[in-house]
Amino acid sequence: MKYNGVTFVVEEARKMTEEEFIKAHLGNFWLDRDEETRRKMLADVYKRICGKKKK
Amino acid sequence: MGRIRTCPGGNFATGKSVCEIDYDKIKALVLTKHGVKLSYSSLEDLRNACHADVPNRAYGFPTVINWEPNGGEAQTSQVGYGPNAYNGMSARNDAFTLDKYRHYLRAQILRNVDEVFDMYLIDIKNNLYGLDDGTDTLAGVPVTIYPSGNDHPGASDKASLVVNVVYQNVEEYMMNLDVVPLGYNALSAVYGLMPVTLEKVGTDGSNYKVVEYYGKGDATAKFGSLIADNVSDVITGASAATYDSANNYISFTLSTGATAPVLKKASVLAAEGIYGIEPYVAS
Repeated sequence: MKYNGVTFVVEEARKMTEEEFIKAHLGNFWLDRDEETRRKMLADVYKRICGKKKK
Repeated sequence: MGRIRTCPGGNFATGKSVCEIDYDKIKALVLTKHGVKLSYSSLEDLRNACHADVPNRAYGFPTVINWEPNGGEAQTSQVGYGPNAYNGMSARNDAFTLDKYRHYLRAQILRNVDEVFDMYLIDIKNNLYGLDDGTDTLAGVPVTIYPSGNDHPGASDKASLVVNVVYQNVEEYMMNLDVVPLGYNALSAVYGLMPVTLEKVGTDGSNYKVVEYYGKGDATAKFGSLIADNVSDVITGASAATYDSANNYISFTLSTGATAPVLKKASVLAAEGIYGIEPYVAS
């Protein structure tokens, strides 16, 4: 799934919890934005891929 | 009835076609492994053949800028005071000059001089030349190859690379040569593949460049965006990717447990519109 120029591998995201997903990708993309914004964007990506939050 | 013989020359057709074939200059040489038939029913078919997994791969050599036959001439001889009689064809090898000298391609040709390939040719009018083997699909012409040419420009010549093909049976070629008009722009479908590696940029992060294995050309600008956009299908070991055009590298997030992104094979890349490259595999 493509989101703001970054393509995410859906199958890989589904293997992770939201926290794991955000932690894995936080330091790699959209580094011109502050960390909080990046967290929100990644949370949005995760939600789009996995629907509700994975516990 | 006792055993009889049938004359081989019983069928001697000397007519001409109502729709003459327009033979034109050769623009592409395509080899397959001996016994492997080329798929050419559509442009996609031909392009996929050039990216297929070995042993079914077609090895394209675009672009041929000159073709020159050597040999393949009728030999006659006289016995006693009888007339001259046909006594076979002289051995033939054709020289195909490529558009550019490439030292790595010459090395590849040299590494394969002992292998028999099947040769197909495509001319500028998209006619495909091969052998009629009695089926609806052309067979290739059995040949071996060797390189020649000049490493450097001289006083009167540019550097050049010539692929020489040696016909294994020139009489068979002449008796069974057949032509199929492809009806599509075949030259745009003929590819030879360049092995590439994903090379990490710096020591930190997970930014990578696409680097041609032979000559170390940076192919990131050409393929980076395509690879990043199709990361799900063309990369193993990554959970996300983006192409950074400012820095000309691909940023990957590696999957859990992965140490590096790995490019998938050429047939998979071609399915996603990435043509002309394959991952380098040490042999």
